[in-house]
Amino acid sequence: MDSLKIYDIYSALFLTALSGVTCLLAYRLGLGSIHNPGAGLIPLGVAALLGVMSIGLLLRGLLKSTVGSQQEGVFQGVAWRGVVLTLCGLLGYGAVFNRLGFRLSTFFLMLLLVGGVGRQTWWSTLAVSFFTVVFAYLIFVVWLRCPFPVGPLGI
Amino acid sequence: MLEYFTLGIQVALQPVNLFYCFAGVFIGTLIGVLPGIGPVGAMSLLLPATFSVSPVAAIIMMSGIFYGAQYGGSTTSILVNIPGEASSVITCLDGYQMARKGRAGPALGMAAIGSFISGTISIVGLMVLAYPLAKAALSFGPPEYFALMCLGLIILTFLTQGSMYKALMMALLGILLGFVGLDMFTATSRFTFGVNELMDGIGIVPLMMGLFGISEILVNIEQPLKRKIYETKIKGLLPTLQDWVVCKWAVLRGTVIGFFLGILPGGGAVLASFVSYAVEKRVSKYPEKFGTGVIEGVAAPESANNAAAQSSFIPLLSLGIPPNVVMAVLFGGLLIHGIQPGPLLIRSHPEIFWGVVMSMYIGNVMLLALNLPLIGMWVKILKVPYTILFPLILLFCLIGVYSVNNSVLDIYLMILFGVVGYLMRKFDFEPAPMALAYVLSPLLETSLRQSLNISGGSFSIFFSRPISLVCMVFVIGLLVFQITSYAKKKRPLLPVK
Repeated sequence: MDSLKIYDIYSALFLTALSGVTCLLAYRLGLGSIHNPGAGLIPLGVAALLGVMSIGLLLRGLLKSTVGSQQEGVFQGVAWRGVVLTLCGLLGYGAVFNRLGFRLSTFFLMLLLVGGVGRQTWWSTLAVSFFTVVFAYLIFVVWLRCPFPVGPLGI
Repeated sequence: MLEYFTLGIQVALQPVNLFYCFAGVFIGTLIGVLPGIGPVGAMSLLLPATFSVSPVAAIIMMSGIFYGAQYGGSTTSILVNIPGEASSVITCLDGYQMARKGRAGPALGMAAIGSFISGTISIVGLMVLAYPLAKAALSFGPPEYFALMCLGLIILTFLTQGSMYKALMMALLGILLGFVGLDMFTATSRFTFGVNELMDGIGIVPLMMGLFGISEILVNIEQPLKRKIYETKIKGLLPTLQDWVVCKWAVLRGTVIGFFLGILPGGGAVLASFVSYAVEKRVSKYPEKFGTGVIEGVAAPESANNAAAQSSFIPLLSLGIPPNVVMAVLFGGLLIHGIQPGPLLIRSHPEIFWGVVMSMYIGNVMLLALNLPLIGMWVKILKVPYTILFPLILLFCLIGVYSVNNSVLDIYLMILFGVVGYLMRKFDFEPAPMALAYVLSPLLETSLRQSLNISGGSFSIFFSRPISLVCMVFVIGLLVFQITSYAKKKRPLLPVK
């Protein structure tokens, strides 16, 4: 196996919990018999196997982990601003897509990503956002006829 | 055979199919050139765009994206020292050094022509092997399919770059994700939490685009790429006679290695390029020069990754088992178009099989034209700042994933899998076993349950039939080998990272 890392413990804890919950849900689905498996039998088996392996990873991490700076290494130098803004932009796009419509929400998303994350000048941000909306509209709505929602005032 | 050959040519030469073939190889080259989105993301993204066209045109385009990306990936490796595709990583070693010595032209030319030769030979192999394999697969029952899929997953986890233990865990997680939705045997909804949109399961498009598209972008923007394009006039794209003399065996060896590793479940273009480079270095009279700009170091891996790209269609089209993640997306595409990949595909839809195969010949010729005379255009595209490129890629991912089912839930799922994929990369978990296991999950479960029904609940059915027995012996052998290697604190096979 590869080198030991402290974050294996976190991954193992998460996967152990996930497999535990899945086992419980699978059990409730009904197990049937080996001859005629029910809806939950095979998910239970797979989740249990994942749980056992996760506990193995956890034990390995707990017994041999060299708690130190390795955890920092993984995220060292990460420009969190860009990552967080991008994720917020994507989630926001999903939240307002049906209300603001395809064109407006796409325009605002591009403003955020090009200007906020990409840190382009305001003029190039506006130009890129505008032309992206036009380009995407022509491809997806006019050419491919995708039924996207329309926003307020028919924009 | 000749009539099918003619049928294939007729299908491939239809104007609409020619157009989609060109669109596929063009987009494939583009995404190969651009770091930040790979063939899996691009194919998932464009899957909805193929809903309005015939299945054969859709598969021709999707295939074109895949093998086109292998061509395009070498351009960035040689000129920028950043691989456009994982399968072009090894080309950086000698390709970029050649560019620094003013030999970017011959490096690009050898990559394109070597790819063309290997791709063409590999298509012949595909035609020869797929048909008899499909015929043999008609006698396969659920135990054989279950054992084959287990073998595929185990080999994939065995060949991953990191820990096999973690790869196995990810494969199990992928299988669990595949259980979400309606149980086909009992019509019970599983793990849907009352969300009706999950009754059909988690969509392949949000999962793939999240794991391979969004996560890649998140990794890229956390530390912005600083690209330095080697500023030189690219001239003399055709390699010299001396280059050909040196490279002819490298191309052939790369083709053979790529062809067989492409068929292998879990193998594919990435592994083929690494192995062929290692072999070339070993058989070379001057191995110490590898990494300093040796043209065989470009010819061998580029030939291998193309051969592998074409041959990986064999298990998908003849057995109905995708050997890698890219083929898993294609598998999903075929299902969405109402085509069941498997041994009956060649017989019941000969126009699809032979049309796609023949389109590959045409696509390879198109790629040669796209990659040699138009190399200047791809270099210009490389100069587009990533700060403008990544918002466009993200937007296309969002629109693409929404347009599959017109569902905002798919957008959220894609973001979720994007974050999961990002963390997986950070914590050294491989997304590929999870993605492939997710696609195989319904088939695995169905064949396991059918096998247990047939055998009256006895697992001995997997050891009493010759094909499944051989597969299971390999599965157990690989697991035992891994455990004993771990006990000796030695990783059995670790491809170069």
